Amino acid sequence: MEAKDHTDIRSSEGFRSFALEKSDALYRIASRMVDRQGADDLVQEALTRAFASRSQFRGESAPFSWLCGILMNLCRAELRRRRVKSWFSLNWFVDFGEDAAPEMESRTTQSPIEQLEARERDRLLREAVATLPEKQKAALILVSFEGMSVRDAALCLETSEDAIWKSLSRGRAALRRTLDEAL
Amino acid sequence: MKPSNLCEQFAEKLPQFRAGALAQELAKSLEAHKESCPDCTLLLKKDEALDGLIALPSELPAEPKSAIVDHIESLSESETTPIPWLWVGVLSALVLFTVIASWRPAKAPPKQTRKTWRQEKGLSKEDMPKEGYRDTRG
Repeated sequence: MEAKDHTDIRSSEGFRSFALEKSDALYRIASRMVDRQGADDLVQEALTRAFASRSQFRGESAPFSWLCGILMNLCRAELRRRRVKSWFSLNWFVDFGEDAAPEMESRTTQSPIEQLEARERDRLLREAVATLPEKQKAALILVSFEGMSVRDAALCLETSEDAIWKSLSRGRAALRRTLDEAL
Repeated sequence: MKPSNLCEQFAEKLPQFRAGALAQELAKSLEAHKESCPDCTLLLKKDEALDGLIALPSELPAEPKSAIVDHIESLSESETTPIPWLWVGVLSALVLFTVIASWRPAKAPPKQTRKTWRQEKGLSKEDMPKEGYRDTRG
């Protein structure tokens, strides 16, 4: 993960250019942690909070880890809120809604069948990730999907590197099992 | 260590093994085990295949979502002054405490005795009927 001088993001302009650079990664993280519908709002809220508290950023971690930490806290709060909501509404179904048909990048080199297969694999993968326990999901998204270092992921999730390795091991084992059965 | 234990250890430490993040001795021992264990070799291949699947293009947006970009561009000092929720909470608690602490039930009027009644009416002790006297005039 590219490290950026933390003094940069303390200025409004520096923060805005940093946020623009990382916005697609933040969107991907939020859409995998929660879903595509909620990702927009969560990223915007995280950016608002980060912008407001950027002067408190001391540079103890990479700016992206710090920003991810804010986003992850919001994602976890949103997941908790949804769990409570679904408990009271007795809505036990996992609604993948729009996620069931993601806007995949159209790749002209793929035949329609290949595109269909890729879309199906993508759906399976996202569904498998969605069923993981929160900690495993978070570690997997940051390290395996976004390529963040284990150290940065640990800082971002406010946990130890050992815990991240453990979550990765368990999460990846669960994904392998699920995809083994499905593919 | 039994081979089955090594298999378990290999599965558990697989991400670290692949990332080269294990102590040299343990890495060597797991590497040697993998070479002789078809199950662990298969597990490693499956894990590599999982990385291949993860790396495939997904719903990754080609460009940041326009709503997010607009939001970033609109970020300004005035809009993002953080609300000091902690202080709002502390002050609300203080006000509530003051209201509760200062509340007292309305005082009951002092009990009226013969003496207070007499003093109120401006009568002397002699003007008072004797105790137990009942006016039966109707």
